[in-house]
Amino acid sequence: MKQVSHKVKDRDGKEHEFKGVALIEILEKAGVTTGAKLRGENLVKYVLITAADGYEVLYALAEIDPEFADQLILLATEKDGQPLPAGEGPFRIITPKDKKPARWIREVRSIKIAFAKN
Amino acid sequence: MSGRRKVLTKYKLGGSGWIVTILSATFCVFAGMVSVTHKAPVPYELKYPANFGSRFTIPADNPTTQEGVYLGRMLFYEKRLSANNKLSCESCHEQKRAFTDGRPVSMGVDGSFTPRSSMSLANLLWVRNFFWDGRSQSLEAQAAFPLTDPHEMGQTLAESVKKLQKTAPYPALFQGAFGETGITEQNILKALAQFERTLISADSPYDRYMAGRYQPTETELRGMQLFENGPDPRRGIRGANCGHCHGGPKTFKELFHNNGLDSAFTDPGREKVTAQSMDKGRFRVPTLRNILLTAPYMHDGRFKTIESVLDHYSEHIQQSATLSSFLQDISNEEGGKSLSLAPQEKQDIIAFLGMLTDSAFMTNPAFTNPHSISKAQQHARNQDIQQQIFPVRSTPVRPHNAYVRANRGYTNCLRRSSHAARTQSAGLGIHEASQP
Repeated sequence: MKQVSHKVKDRDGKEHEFKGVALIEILEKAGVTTGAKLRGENLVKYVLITAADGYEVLYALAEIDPEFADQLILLATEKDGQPLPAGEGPFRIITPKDKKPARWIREVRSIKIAFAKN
Repeated sequence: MSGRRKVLTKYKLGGSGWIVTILSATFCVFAGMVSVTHKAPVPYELKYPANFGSRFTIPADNPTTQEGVYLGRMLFYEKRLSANNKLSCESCHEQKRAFTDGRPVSMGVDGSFTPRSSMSLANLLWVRNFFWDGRSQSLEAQAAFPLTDPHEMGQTLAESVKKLQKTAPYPALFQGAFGETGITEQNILKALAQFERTLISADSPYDRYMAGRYQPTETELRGMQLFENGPDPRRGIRGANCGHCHGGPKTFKELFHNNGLDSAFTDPGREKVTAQSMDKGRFRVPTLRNILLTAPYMHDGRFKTIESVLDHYSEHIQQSATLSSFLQDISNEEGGKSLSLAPQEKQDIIAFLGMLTDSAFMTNPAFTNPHSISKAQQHARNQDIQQQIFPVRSTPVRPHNAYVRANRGYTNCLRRSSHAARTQSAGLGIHEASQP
Protein backbone atom coordinates (compact mmCIF):
# COMPACT_ATOMS: atom_id res chain seq x y z
CA MET A 1 0.00 0.00 0.00
CA LYS A 2 1.07 3.53 -0.65
CA GLN A 3 3.14 5.03 2.17
CA VAL A 4 2.24 8.54 3.27
CA SER A 5 3.89 10.75 5.87
CA HIS A 6 2.91 13.80 7.90
CA LYS A 7 5.12 16.16 9.92
CA VAL A 8 3.09 17.20 12.94
CA LYS A 9 3.53 18.48 16.46
CA ASP A 10 2.69 15.79 19.05
CA ARG A 11 1.64 16.04 22.69
CA ASP A 12 5.29 16.53 23.71
CA GLY A 13 5.26 19.84 21.82
CA LYS A 14 7.86 18.60 19.32
CA GLU A 15 7.48 18.00 15.60
CA HIS A 16 7.66 14.37 14.45
CA GLU A 17 7.40 12.67 11.08
CA PHE A 18 4.75 9.95 11.16
CA LYS A 19 4.62 7.46 8.31
CA GLY A 20 1.96 4.93 7.44
CA VAL A 21 -0.96 4.39 5.08
CA ALA A 22 -4.06 6.46 4.53
CA LEU A 23 -6.85 5.15 6.75
CA ILE A 24 -9.31 5.60 3.88
CA GLU A 25 -7.32 3.16 1.75
CA ILE A 26 -7.62 0.46 4.39
CA LEU A 27 -11.35 1.08 4.67
CA GLU A 28 -11.71 0.87 0.86
CA LYS A 29 -9.87 -2.46 0.83
CA ALA A 30 -12.20 -3.70 3.54
CA GLY A 31 -15.21 -2.86 1.35
CA VAL A 32 -16.43 0.19 3.28
CA THR A 33 -18.63 2.63 1.35
CA THR A 34 -16.19 5.39 0.44
CA GLY A 35 -15.88 7.92 -2.40
CA ALA A 36 -18.91 7.87 -4.74
CA LYS A 37 -20.67 5.37 -2.45
CA LEU A 38 -20.40 7.66 0.56
CA ARG A 39 -23.80 9.32 0.17
CA GLY A 40 -27.39 9.02 1.35
CA GLU A 41 -27.79 6.80 4.41
CA ASN A 42 -24.08 5.96 4.38
CA LEU A 43 -23.47 9.47 5.68
CA VAL A 44 -24.70 8.36 9.11
CA LYS A 45 -21.93 5.79 9.41
CA TYR A 46 -19.31 6.19 12.11
CA VAL A 47 -15.86 4.76 12.69
CA LEU A 48 -15.18 3.59 16.26
CA ILE A 49 -11.50 2.94 16.93
CA THR A 50 -10.42 1.02 20.03
CA ALA A 51 -6.96 0.83 21.58
CA ALA A 52 -5.36 -2.06 23.44
CA ASP A 53 -5.98 -0.35 26.80
CA GLY A 54 -9.68 0.11 26.03
CA TYR A 55 -9.48 3.80 25.02
CA GLU A 56 -11.96 4.62 22.28
CA VAL A 57 -12.41 7.47 19.81
CA LEU A 58 -14.97 8.09 17.14
CA TYR A 59 -14.96 9.71 13.72
CA ALA A 60 -17.80 10.17 11.27
CA LEU A 61 -16.97 8.11 8.18
CA ALA A 62 -17.15 11.24 6.02
CA GLU A 63 -14.44 12.89 8.17
CA ILE A 64 -12.00 10.24 6.99
CA ASP A 65 -12.82 10.46 3.29
CA PRO A 66 -10.61 13.05 1.55
CA GLU A 67 -13.48 13.80 -0.82
CA PHE A 68 -15.14 15.41 2.21
CA ALA A 69 -12.28 16.42 4.48
CA ASP A 70 -9.31 18.59 3.70
CA GLN A 71 -6.81 16.20 5.27
CA LEU A 72 -5.51 12.65 4.98
CA ILE A 73 -5.85 10.67 8.22
CA LEU A 74 -3.02 8.18 8.68
CA LEU A 75 -2.77 4.79 10.24
CA ALA A 76 0.86 5.35 11.20
CA THR A 77 3.40 2.60 11.82
CA GLU A 78 6.60 4.69 12.04
CA LYS A 79 7.76 7.79 13.89
CA ASP A 80 10.96 9.59 12.80
CA GLY A 81 12.05 6.58 10.75
CA GLN A 82 11.56 4.06 13.57
CA PRO A 83 8.69 1.65 14.18
CA LEU A 84 6.31 3.15 16.73
CA PRO A 85 7.46 2.21 20.26
CA ALA A 86 5.61 -0.02 22.72
CA GLY A 87 2.72 1.86 24.25
CA GLU A 88 2.24 3.89 21.07
CA GLY A 89 2.33 1.30 18.28
CA PRO A 90 2.25 -0.84 16.37
CA PHE A 91 -0.52 1.34 14.89
CA ARG A 92 -1.50 4.89 15.72
CA ILE A 93 -3.98 7.26 14.10
CA ILE A 94 -2.64 10.67 13.06
CA THR A 95 -5.22 13.33 12.24
CA PRO A 96 -3.12 16.36 11.28
CA LYS A 97 -5.91 18.94 11.44
CA ASP A 98 -7.20 17.95 14.86
CA LYS A 99 -5.75 20.68 17.09
CA LYS A 100 -5.87 18.42 20.16
CA PRO A 101 -4.20 15.02 19.74
CA ALA A 102 -6.83 13.24 21.86
CA ARG A 103 -8.14 11.33 18.81
CA TRP A 104 -4.62 10.40 17.68
CA ILE A 105 -5.31 7.06 19.30
CA ARG A 106 -2.32 4.83 20.09
CA GLU A 107 -2.08 1.04 20.15
CA VAL A 108 -4.98 0.72 17.68
CA ARG A 109 -6.53 -2.71 18.04
CA SER A 110 -9.85 -2.51 16.25
CA ILE A 111 -11.71 -0.29 13.78
CA LYS A 112 -15.46 -0.71 13.60
CA ILE A 113 -17.73 0.92 11.02
CA ALA A 114 -21.43 1.05 11.83
CA PHE A 115 -24.62 3.00 11.25
CA ALA A 116 -25.48 5.49 13.98
CA LYS A 117 -28.74 4.55 15.68
CA ASN A 118 -31.25 7.08 16.78
CA MET B 1 -62.24 -24.13 35.98
CA SER B 2 -62.16 -27.13 38.30
CA GLY B 3 -62.88 -24.79 41.18
CA ARG B 4 -65.97 -23.47 39.48
CA ARG B 5 -67.15 -26.99 38.63
CA LYS B 6 -66.81 -27.96 42.27
CA VAL B 7 -68.95 -25.02 43.29
CA LEU B 8 -71.65 -26.03 40.87
CA THR B 9 -71.51 -29.64 42.01
CA LYS B 10 -71.86 -28.62 45.61
CA TYR B 11 -74.76 -26.39 44.68
CA LYS B 12 -76.53 -29.34 43.06
CA LEU B 13 -75.79 -31.65 45.92
CA GLY B 14 -76.35 -29.33 48.79
CA GLY B 15 -79.16 -27.36 47.29
CA SER B 16 -78.67 -24.49 49.78
CA GLY B 17 -78.29 -20.99 48.48
CA TRP B 18 -75.97 -19.75 51.25
CA ILE B 19 -73.27 -22.37 50.50
CA VAL B 20 -73.08 -21.13 46.96
CA THR B 21 -72.63 -17.60 48.15
CA ILE B 22 -69.76 -18.49 50.47
CA LEU B 23 -67.97 -20.68 47.94
CA SER B 24 -68.35 -18.12 45.19
CA ALA B 25 -66.96 -15.50 47.51
CA THR B 26 -63.99 -17.75 48.29
CA PHE B 27 -63.41 -18.34 44.60
CA CYS B 28 -63.44 -14.62 43.90
CA VAL B 29 -60.95 -13.92 46.66
CA PHE B 30 -58.73 -16.72 45.42
CA ALA B 31 -58.93 -15.48 41.82
CA GLY B 32 -58.11 -11.99 43.05
CA MET B 33 -54.98 -13.22 44.82
CA VAL B 34 -53.86 -15.12 41.74
CA SER B 35 -54.12 -11.99 39.66
CA VAL B 36 -52.08 -10.10 42.29
CA THR B 37 -49.27 -12.70 42.18
CA HIS B 38 -49.12 -12.54 38.38
CA LYS B 39 -49.05 -8.79 38.02
CA ALA B 40 -46.12 -7.38 36.11
CA PRO B 41 -43.09 -6.33 38.17
CA VAL B 42 -42.84 -2.62 38.92
CA PRO B 43 -40.01 -0.80 37.10
CA TYR B 44 -37.17 0.38 39.35
CA GLU B 45 -35.93 3.82 38.43
CA LEU B 46 -32.16 4.12 38.63
CA LYS B 47 -31.24 7.61 39.78
CA TYR B 48 -27.83 9.20 39.46
CA PRO B 49 -26.28 12.62 38.92
CA ALA B 50 -26.34 13.91 35.34
CA ASN B 51 -22.55 14.26 35.30
CA PHE B 52 -22.18 10.46 35.51
CA GLY B 53 -23.55 10.30 31.97
CA SER B 54 -25.82 7.66 30.53
CA ARG B 55 -23.30 5.43 28.81
CA PHE B 56 -24.54 2.13 30.17
CA THR B 57 -26.55 -0.74 28.82
CA ILE B 58 -29.21 -2.70 30.64
CA PRO B 59 -29.96 -5.94 28.76
CA ALA B 60 -33.37 -5.81 27.08
CA ASP B 61 -34.25 -9.18 28.62
CA ASN B 62 -33.47 -8.03 32.15
CA PRO B 63 -35.11 -4.70 32.93
CA THR B 64 -34.54 -3.44 36.46
CA THR B 65 -37.65 -3.93 38.60
CA GLN B 66 -38.54 -3.46 42.28
CA GLU B 67 -39.19 -7.18 42.63
CA GLY B 68 -36.02 -8.19 40.79
CA VAL B 69 -33.83 -5.84 42.83
CA TYR B 70 -35.26 -7.08 46.11
CA LEU B 71 -34.79 -10.70 45.06
CA GLY B 72 -31.23 -9.92 43.97
CA ARG B 73 -30.57 -8.37 47.36
CA MET B 74 -31.90 -11.50 49.10
CA LEU B 75 -29.65 -13.65 46.89
CA PHE B 76 -26.63 -11.40 47.44
CA TYR B 77 -26.83 -12.23 51.15
CA GLU B 78 -27.90 -15.90 50.65
CA LYS B 79 -25.39 -18.44 51.98
CA ARG B 80 -27.29 -21.33 50.39
CA LEU B 81 -25.72 -20.26 47.11
CA SER B 82 -22.39 -21.69 48.32
CA ALA B 83 -21.37 -25.35 48.46
CA ASN B 84 -20.95 -25.36 52.26
CA ASN B 85 -23.80 -22.91 53.00
CA LYS B 86 -21.29 -20.62 54.71
CA LEU B 87 -20.47 -18.01 52.06
CA SER B 88 -22.59 -15.43 50.30
CA CYS B 89 -21.56 -12.59 47.98
CA GLU B 90 -21.35 -10.50 51.14
CA SER B 91 -18.52 -12.65 52.51
CA CYS B 92 -16.17 -10.81 50.14
CA HIS B 93 -18.28 -7.70 49.53
CA GLU B 94 -19.28 -6.08 52.83
CA GLN B 95 -21.34 -2.92 52.59
CA LYS B 96 -19.44 -1.21 55.42
CA ARG B 97 -16.24 -1.54 53.37
CA ALA B 98 -17.85 -0.26 50.16
CA PHE B 99 -18.43 -3.90 49.23
CA THR B 100 -14.87 -5.14 49.62
CA ASP B 101 -13.60 -7.49 52.34
CA GLY B 102 -10.54 -5.85 53.87
CA ARG B 103 -8.32 -8.79 52.87
CA PRO B 104 -5.59 -8.94 50.22
CA VAL B 105 -7.26 -11.99 48.66
CA SER B 106 -10.32 -13.94 49.79
CA MET B 107 -10.95 -17.49 51.02
CA GLY B 108 -13.32 -19.77 49.11
CA VAL B 109 -15.43 -22.75 50.24
CA ASP B 110 -12.50 -25.13 49.72
CA GLY B 111 -10.23 -23.12 52.02
CA SER B 112 -8.08 -21.89 49.13
CA PHE B 113 -7.51 -18.25 48.31
CA THR B 114 -8.66 -16.33 45.25
CA PRO B 115 -5.82 -15.16 43.01
CA ARG B 116 -7.01 -11.54 43.13
CA SER B 117 -8.42 -9.03 45.57
CA SER B 118 -12.15 -8.49 45.98
CA MET B 119 -13.30 -5.39 44.07
CA SER B 120 -15.63 -2.65 45.29
CA LEU B 121 -19.13 -2.90 43.83
CA ALA B 122 -19.87 0.82 43.60
CA ASN B 123 -21.24 2.21 40.32
CA LEU B 124 -21.09 -1.05 38.37
CA LEU B 125 -23.92 0.29 36.23
CA TRP B 126 -21.28 2.12 34.15
CA VAL B 127 -18.70 -0.68 33.99
CA ARG B 128 -18.44 -2.46 30.66
CA ASN B 129 -15.70 -5.04 31.36
CA PHE B 130 -15.89 -6.74 34.73
CA PHE B 131 -13.15 -8.21 36.93
CA TRP B 132 -9.52 -7.10 37.19
CA ASP B 133 -8.92 -8.58 33.72
CA GLY B 134 -12.20 -7.44 32.16
CA ARG B 135 -13.21 -10.93 31.09
CA SER B 136 -16.94 -10.40 31.51
CA GLN B 137 -19.10 -7.98 29.54
CA SER B 138 -22.23 -7.89 31.66
CA LEU B 139 -23.23 -8.12 35.30
CA GLU B 140 -25.37 -11.12 34.38
CA ALA B 141 -22.38 -13.00 32.92
CA GLN B 142 -20.10 -11.83 35.74
CA ALA B 143 -22.22 -13.26 38.54
CA ALA B 144 -21.74 -16.87 37.40
CA PHE B 145 -17.97 -16.78 38.07
CA PRO B 146 -17.85 -16.31 41.86
CA LEU B 147 -20.93 -18.47 42.35
CA THR B 148 -19.54 -21.52 40.57
CA ASP B 149 -15.75 -21.21 40.89
CA PRO B 150 -14.62 -24.15 43.09
CA HIS B 151 -12.28 -21.78 44.95
CA GLU B 152 -15.03 -19.22 45.62
CA MET B 153 -18.65 -20.21 46.37
CA GLY B 154 -18.17 -23.52 44.57
CA GLN B 155 -21.71 -24.52 43.69
CA THR B 156 -23.24 -25.19 40.28
CA LEU B 157 -26.15 -22.99 39.32
CA ALA B 158 -28.26 -26.13 38.90
CA GLU B 159 -27.62 -27.02 42.56
CA SER B 160 -28.47 -23.46 43.62
CA VAL B 161 -31.78 -23.71 41.73
CA LYS B 162 -32.59 -26.94 43.61
CA LYS B 163 -31.77 -25.44 47.01
CA LEU B 164 -33.77 -22.28 46.38
CA GLN B 165 -36.78 -24.26 45.18
CA LYS B 166 -36.90 -25.85 48.64
CA THR B 167 -36.50 -22.54 50.48
CA ALA B 168 -39.26 -20.06 51.24
CA PRO B 169 -39.74 -17.30 50.20
CA TYR B 170 -37.76 -17.87 46.98
CA PRO B 171 -40.42 -19.58 44.82
CA ALA B 172 -42.75 -16.62 45.44
CA LEU B 173 -40.01 -14.00 45.01
CA PHE B 174 -38.84 -15.46 41.70
CA GLN B 175 -42.40 -15.66 40.44
CA GLY B 176 -42.94 -12.04 41.45
CA ALA B 177 -39.80 -10.91 39.65
CA PHE B 178 -39.80 -13.16 36.59
CA GLY B 179 -43.32 -14.59 36.33
CA GLU B 180 -43.88 -18.12 35.14
CA THR B 181 -40.20 -18.97 34.49
CA GLY B 182 -39.67 -18.90 38.26
CA ILE B 183 -36.39 -20.18 39.70
CA THR B 184 -33.87 -20.80 36.92
CA GLU B 185 -30.10 -20.47 36.61
CA GLN B 186 -30.47 -17.42 34.38
CA ASN B 187 -32.96 -15.75 36.72
CA ILE B 188 -30.53 -16.09 39.66
CA LEU B 189 -27.91 -14.22 37.63
CA LYS B 190 -30.44 -11.67 36.38
CA ALA B 191 -31.68 -10.83 39.88
CA LEU B 192 -28.16 -10.42 41.24
CA ALA B 193 -27.33 -8.14 38.30
CA GLN B 194 -30.42 -6.04 38.97
CA PHE B 195 -29.46 -5.53 42.61
CA GLU B 196 -25.87 -4.68 41.69
CA ARG B 197 -27.03 -2.00 39.22
CA THR B 198 -28.65 -0.16 42.13
CA LEU B 199 -25.36 0.12 44.09
CA ILE B 200 -24.79 3.73 43.09
CA SER B 201 -22.38 5.84 45.12
CA ALA B 202 -22.87 9.47 44.15
CA ASP B 203 -23.31 11.47 47.34
CA SER B 204 -19.75 12.03 48.54
CA PRO B 205 -18.35 15.46 49.48
CA TYR B 206 -16.77 15.44 45.98
CA ASP B 207 -20.25 15.10 44.42
CA ARG B 208 -21.54 17.88 46.65
CA TYR B 209 -18.53 20.00 45.67
CA MET B 210 -19.30 19.45 41.97
CA ALA B 211 -22.89 20.43 42.64
CA GLY B 212 -21.71 23.61 44.41
CA ARG B 213 -22.79 22.45 47.87
CA TYR B 214 -19.47 21.69 49.57
CA GLN B 215 -16.47 23.89 50.22
CA PRO B 216 -13.29 21.76 50.28
CA THR B 217 -10.56 22.48 52.82
CA GLU B 218 -7.24 23.96 51.68
CA THR B 219 -5.53 20.57 51.71
CA GLU B 220 -8.40 18.93 49.82
CA LEU B 221 -8.23 21.65 47.16
CA ARG B 222 -4.46 21.25 46.77
CA GLY B 223 -4.96 17.48 46.54
CA MET B 224 -7.60 17.92 43.86
CA GLN B 225 -5.24 20.06 41.79
CA LEU B 226 -2.43 17.52 42.11
CA PHE B 227 -4.86 14.69 41.28
CA GLU B 228 -5.92 16.38 38.04
CA ASN B 229 -2.68 17.98 36.85
CA GLY B 230 0.01 16.31 34.84
CA PRO B 231 3.42 17.50 36.11
CA ASP B 232 5.20 20.06 33.96
CA PRO B 233 8.32 21.20 35.84
CA ARG B 234 9.39 23.58 33.08
CA ARG B 235 6.18 25.55 33.53
CA GLY B 236 6.22 25.14 37.31
CA ILE B 237 3.14 22.90 37.37
CA ARG B 238 3.20 20.15 39.96
CA GLY B 239 0.93 17.15 39.61
CA ALA B 240 0.37 13.45 40.06
CA ASN B 241 -1.68 12.94 36.87
CA CYS B 242 -4.08 10.52 38.66
CA GLY B 243 -6.97 11.96 36.62
CA HIS B 244 -5.46 10.66 33.39
CA CYS B 245 -6.91 7.24 34.22
CA HIS B 246 -9.13 8.03 37.23
CA GLY B 247 -10.55 11.30 35.95
CA GLY B 248 -14.15 12.41 35.62
CA PRO B 249 -16.98 12.19 38.15
CA LYS B 250 -16.89 8.39 38.16
CA THR B 251 -13.13 8.35 38.99
CA PHE B 252 -12.40 5.55 36.56
CA LYS B 253 -12.12 5.24 32.82
CA GLU B 254 -12.80 1.97 31.06
CA LEU B 255 -9.07 1.22 30.72
CA PHE B 256 -6.52 -1.52 31.37
CA HIS B 257 -2.98 -0.53 32.29
CA ASN B 258 0.23 -1.97 33.64
CA ASN B 259 0.82 0.39 36.55
CA GLY B 260 4.40 -0.65 37.20
CA LEU B 261 3.93 -2.96 40.18
CA ASP B 262 6.48 -5.51 38.92
CA SER B 263 9.04 -5.96 36.19
CA ALA B 264 8.06 -9.63 35.71
CA PHE B 265 4.53 -10.91 36.15
CA THR B 266 3.25 -13.94 38.01
CA ASP B 267 -0.29 -12.85 37.09
CA PRO B 268 -0.57 -12.05 33.35
CA GLY B 269 -3.75 -9.98 33.91
CA ARG B 270 -5.48 -8.87 30.73
CA GLU B 271 -3.17 -10.97 28.55
CA LYS B 272 -5.01 -14.08 29.68
CA VAL B 273 -8.23 -12.69 28.17
CA THR B 274 -6.93 -11.19 24.92
CA ALA B 275 -3.98 -13.57 24.27
CA GLN B 276 -1.97 -10.49 23.19
CA SER B 277 1.50 -10.19 24.69
CA MET B 278 1.21 -6.40 24.84
CA ASP B 279 -1.51 -6.89 27.47
CA LYS B 280 0.76 -8.68 29.93
CA GLY B 281 0.45 -7.23 33.41
CA ARG B 282 -2.40 -4.93 32.47
CA PHE B 283 -5.28 -4.71 34.92
CA ARG B 284 -8.50 -2.78 35.11
CA VAL B 285 -8.38 0.85 36.26
CA PRO B 286 -10.79 0.60 39.20
CA THR B 287 -13.04 3.27 40.66
CA LEU B 288 -11.55 5.40 43.44
CA ARG B 289 -14.96 5.97 45.02
CA ASN B 290 -14.75 5.21 48.77
CA ILE B 291 -11.09 4.33 48.27
CA LEU B 292 -10.08 5.04 51.87
CA LEU B 293 -12.42 2.22 52.97
CA THR B 294 -11.25 -0.41 50.49
CA ALA B 295 -7.71 -1.28 51.66
CA PRO B 296 -5.68 -3.30 50.93
CA TYR B 297 -4.97 -2.07 47.40
CA MET B 298 -4.09 -3.36 43.91
CA HIS B 299 -5.24 -6.55 42.17
CA ASP B 300 -3.33 -8.68 44.66
CA GLY B 301 -3.93 -6.50 47.70
CA ARG B 302 -0.20 -5.93 48.17
CA PHE B 303 -0.46 -2.42 49.65
CA LYS B 304 -1.97 -2.25 53.13
CA THR B 305 -2.32 1.53 53.22
CA ILE B 306 -3.17 4.37 50.86
CA GLU B 307 0.16 5.95 51.80
CA SER B 308 2.01 2.99 50.28
CA VAL B 309 -0.06 3.39 47.09
CA LEU B 310 1.06 7.02 46.83
CA ASP B 311 4.66 5.97 47.52
CA HIS B 312 4.40 3.42 44.72
CA TYR B 313 3.25 5.91 42.09
CA SER B 314 5.68 8.53 43.32
CA GLU B 315 8.89 6.50 43.68
CA HIS B 316 8.59 2.79 42.92
CA ILE B 317 7.28 2.33 39.37
CA GLN B 318 8.89 -0.79 37.88
CA GLN B 319 9.92 -0.80 34.24
CA SER B 320 8.70 -3.54 31.90
CA ALA B 321 7.85 -3.93 28.21
CA THR B 322 4.17 -3.21 28.80
CA LEU B 323 4.43 -0.45 31.44
CA SER B 324 1.80 2.19 30.74
CA SER B 325 3.25 5.03 28.68
CA PHE B 326 1.41 7.42 31.01
CA LEU B 327 3.68 6.31 33.87
CA GLN B 328 6.97 6.65 31.98
CA ASP B 329 9.20 9.71 32.07
CA ILE B 330 6.67 11.65 34.06
CA SER B 331 8.16 13.68 36.87
CA ASN B 332 7.83 16.81 38.93
CA GLU B 333 11.57 17.34 38.49
CA GLU B 334 13.08 18.39 35.17
CA GLY B 335 14.60 15.28 33.54
CA GLY B 336 13.43 13.19 36.52
CA LYS B 337 12.55 9.52 36.20
CA SER B 338 10.00 9.27 38.99
CA LEU B 339 6.97 11.34 39.87
CA SER B 340 8.70 12.60 43.05
CA LEU B 341 5.83 14.00 45.07
CA ALA B 342 6.67 15.82 48.29
CA PRO B 343 5.35 14.25 51.55
CA GLN B 344 2.85 17.11 52.00
CA GLU B 345 1.64 16.61 48.42
CA LYS B 346 0.92 12.94 49.13
CA GLN B 347 -1.05 13.99 52.21
CA ASP B 348 -2.98 16.52 50.11
CA ILE B 349 -3.90 13.86 47.56
CA ILE B 350 -5.04 11.53 50.34
CA ALA B 351 -7.16 14.37 51.74
CA PHE B 352 -8.78 14.72 48.32
CA LEU B 353 -9.33 10.95 48.13
CA GLY B 354 -11.18 11.27 51.43
CA MET B 355 -13.68 13.50 49.60
CA LEU B 356 -14.67 10.38 47.64
CA THR B 357 -16.05 8.66 50.75
CA ASP B 358 -19.83 8.55 50.43
CA SER B 359 -20.83 7.58 53.97
CA ALA B 360 -24.51 7.19 53.05
CA PHE B 361 -23.50 4.41 50.62
CA MET B 362 -22.09 2.34 53.50
CA THR B 363 -25.28 2.67 55.55
CA ASN B 364 -27.94 2.81 52.82
CA PRO B 365 -30.78 0.62 54.18
CA ALA B 366 -31.65 -0.51 50.65
CA PHE B 367 -28.34 -2.38 50.42
CA THR B 368 -28.27 -4.04 53.85
CA ASN B 369 -28.72 -7.72 54.57
CA PRO B 370 -32.46 -8.41 54.38
CA HIS B 371 -31.98 -11.74 56.19
CA SER B 372 -30.17 -10.27 59.15
CA ILE B 373 -33.25 -9.21 61.08
CA SER B 374 -33.54 -11.59 64.03
CA LYS B 375 -36.51 -13.95 64.22
CA ALA B 376 -38.04 -12.03 67.15
CA GLN B 377 -37.73 -8.72 65.31
CA GLN B 378 -39.10 -10.29 62.15
CA HIS B 379 -42.07 -11.62 64.06
CA ALA B 380 -42.75 -8.23 65.66
CA ARG B 381 -42.37 -6.56 62.31
CA ASN B 382 -44.73 -9.01 60.61
CA GLN B 383 -47.29 -8.36 63.31
CA ASP B 384 -46.89 -4.66 62.72
CA ILE B 385 -47.31 -4.95 58.96
CA GLN B 386 -50.23 -7.34 59.36
CA GLN B 387 -52.04 -4.97 61.61
CA GLN B 388 -51.72 -2.22 59.07
CA ILE B 389 -52.83 -4.33 56.15
CA PHE B 390 -54.95 -7.09 57.61
CA PRO B 391 -56.32 -5.65 60.85
CA VAL B 392 -58.57 -8.60 61.69
CA ARG B 393 -57.01 -11.95 60.92
CA SER B 394 -53.42 -13.15 60.66
CA THR B 395 -52.51 -13.75 57.03
CA PRO B 396 -49.00 -14.45 55.76
CA VAL B 397 -47.24 -11.26 54.78
CA ARG B 398 -46.46 -11.10 51.11
CA PRO B 399 -42.82 -10.30 50.37
CA HIS B 400 -44.12 -7.47 48.23
CA ASN B 401 -44.92 -5.43 51.35
CA ALA B 402 -41.61 -6.26 52.93
CA TYR B 403 -39.56 -4.84 50.12
CA VAL B 404 -41.67 -1.77 49.63
CA ARG B 405 -41.02 -1.03 53.28
CA ALA B 406 -37.36 -1.91 53.17
CA ASN B 407 -36.74 0.26 50.15
CA ARG B 408 -38.54 3.32 51.34
CA GLY B 409 -35.44 4.91 52.83
CA TYR B 410 -33.49 4.52 49.64
CA THR B 411 -36.21 5.97 47.47
CA ASN B 412 -36.12 9.13 49.55
CA CYS B 413 -32.36 9.27 49.32
CA LEU B 414 -32.54 8.91 45.53
CA ARG B 415 -35.12 11.61 45.28
CA ARG B 416 -32.60 13.99 46.82
CA SER B 417 -29.81 13.06 44.45
CA SER B 418 -32.14 13.25 41.49
CA HIS B 419 -33.03 16.76 42.54
CA ALA B 420 -29.34 17.61 42.63
CA ALA B 421 -28.94 16.11 39.17
CA ARG B 422 -31.78 18.17 37.79
CA THR B 423 -30.41 21.32 39.35
CA GLN B 424 -27.03 20.63 37.87
CA SER B 425 -28.16 19.86 34.34
CA ALA B 426 -30.40 22.90 34.40
CA GLY B 427 -27.41 25.03 35.43
CA LEU B 428 -25.29 23.70 32.59
CA GLY B 429 -28.09 24.05 30.08
CA ILE B 430 -27.26 20.65 28.69
CA HIS B 431 -29.80 18.12 27.58
CA GLU B 432 -28.52 14.63 27.23
CA ALA B 433 -30.64 12.04 25.44
CA SER B 434 -31.33 9.21 27.82
CA GLN B 435 -30.33 6.65 25.23
CA PRO B 436 -27.93 4.14 26.75
